[in-house]
Amino acid sequence: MKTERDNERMDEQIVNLLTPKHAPRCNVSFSVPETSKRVSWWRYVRTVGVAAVVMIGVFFGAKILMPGEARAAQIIDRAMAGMKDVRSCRMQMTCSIPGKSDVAGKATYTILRAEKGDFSRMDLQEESVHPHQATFLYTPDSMKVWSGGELEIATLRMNQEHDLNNWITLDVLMGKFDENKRNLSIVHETDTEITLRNDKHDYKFDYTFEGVFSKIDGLLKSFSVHGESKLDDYIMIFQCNRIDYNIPLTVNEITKAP
Amino acid sequence: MEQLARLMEEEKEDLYRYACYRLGDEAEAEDVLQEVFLALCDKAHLLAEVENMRNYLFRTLTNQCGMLLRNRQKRMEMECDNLEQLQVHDLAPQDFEQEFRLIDRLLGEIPVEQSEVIRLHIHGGRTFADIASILNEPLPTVKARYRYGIEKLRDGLRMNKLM
Repeated sequence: MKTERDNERMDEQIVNLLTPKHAPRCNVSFSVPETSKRVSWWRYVRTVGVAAVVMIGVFFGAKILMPGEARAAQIIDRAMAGMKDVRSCRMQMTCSIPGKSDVAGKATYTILRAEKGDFSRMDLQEESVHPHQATFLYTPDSMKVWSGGELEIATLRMNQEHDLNNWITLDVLMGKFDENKRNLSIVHETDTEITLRNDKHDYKFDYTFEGVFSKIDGLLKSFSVHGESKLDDYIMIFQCNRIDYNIPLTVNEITKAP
Repeated sequence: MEQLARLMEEEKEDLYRYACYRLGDEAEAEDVLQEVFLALCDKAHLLAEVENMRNYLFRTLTNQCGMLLRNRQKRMEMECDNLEQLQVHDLAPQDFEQEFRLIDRLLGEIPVEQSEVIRLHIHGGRTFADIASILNEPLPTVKARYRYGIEKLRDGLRMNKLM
């Protein structure tokens, strides 16, 4: 009759048998293969898209920006109030780097607030000398990346904190906004629109965000981002001329393979 | 990509150990690590989106090893080995080759789902939470597979009077 203690002892012996004692040492070293020094702008496109979302306070509940100027604060507050009923939005953006003809493209950034959680998707179309398409999809529990129409990456999102409200990039951006909140200012005003500007700086870029808000419904209508790289000698320009709110969109549509 | 190279360097002993005891061939294990690295370099621009790159490395490696094994004749021959043919002296291997054969025989006795968890835990040095992420399985399932695998091996060794 084997006791539980006997079983435990045997299990330890089995683990010991399975534990390598003659494992060879790894002699491989990994060096980065020579590749062209292309500027990867895709990641920045999403970052900028998220930054725009931060700017208008879409979906971010209590995380209220506190601009130094009282009127700017009112505008942000109003935009956030207007966003309460927004269930979805879509931004069309373009990116270019003057002087670098091999970096240019279009991006469509779509967000859906569904019952199950937040969904976001970035469709990218690189229009350089090497045209290329990519799609990044975040659902409440998974992340997928398609490149050139092929599914390249599909992973579960194990860390529940990594939802739309807490993307790492978003946290970083929120921090930057917070650091620079006194730099939010009104740069232009008409009867129907008002333009706010925010300057941000991180170790990679000096950014200038300009957002045009409607005086009618308080929502952000368009924005531009001017980023000057500190690491390389180039300037990156993002332009979003159009943001559509409450577009008819289902979970099936936003998660559809490209 | 520099970041990826750095990560591969940091994790290479665990990755290599896993590959060695999965494939049973040191040179092949080195090749597969290089292949994994180059394949990931090719899509480095997409990898910034991956939440846990260490686990993604392991997932890529397990897939690559699985693919190699499916195509390998040698593996099929070795599957003829089983616990009944195991002698007591086999339990004290003297080199990598003997040790690989022992471990492969033992793990060949249990379902692949269970052996994969054991390999990742013991050879790859992954926690059960990491393994759950690598295999896209719930944590309790992963823990149960490990436990059942060890229990099945215990019964087998006992039945064959090897312990």
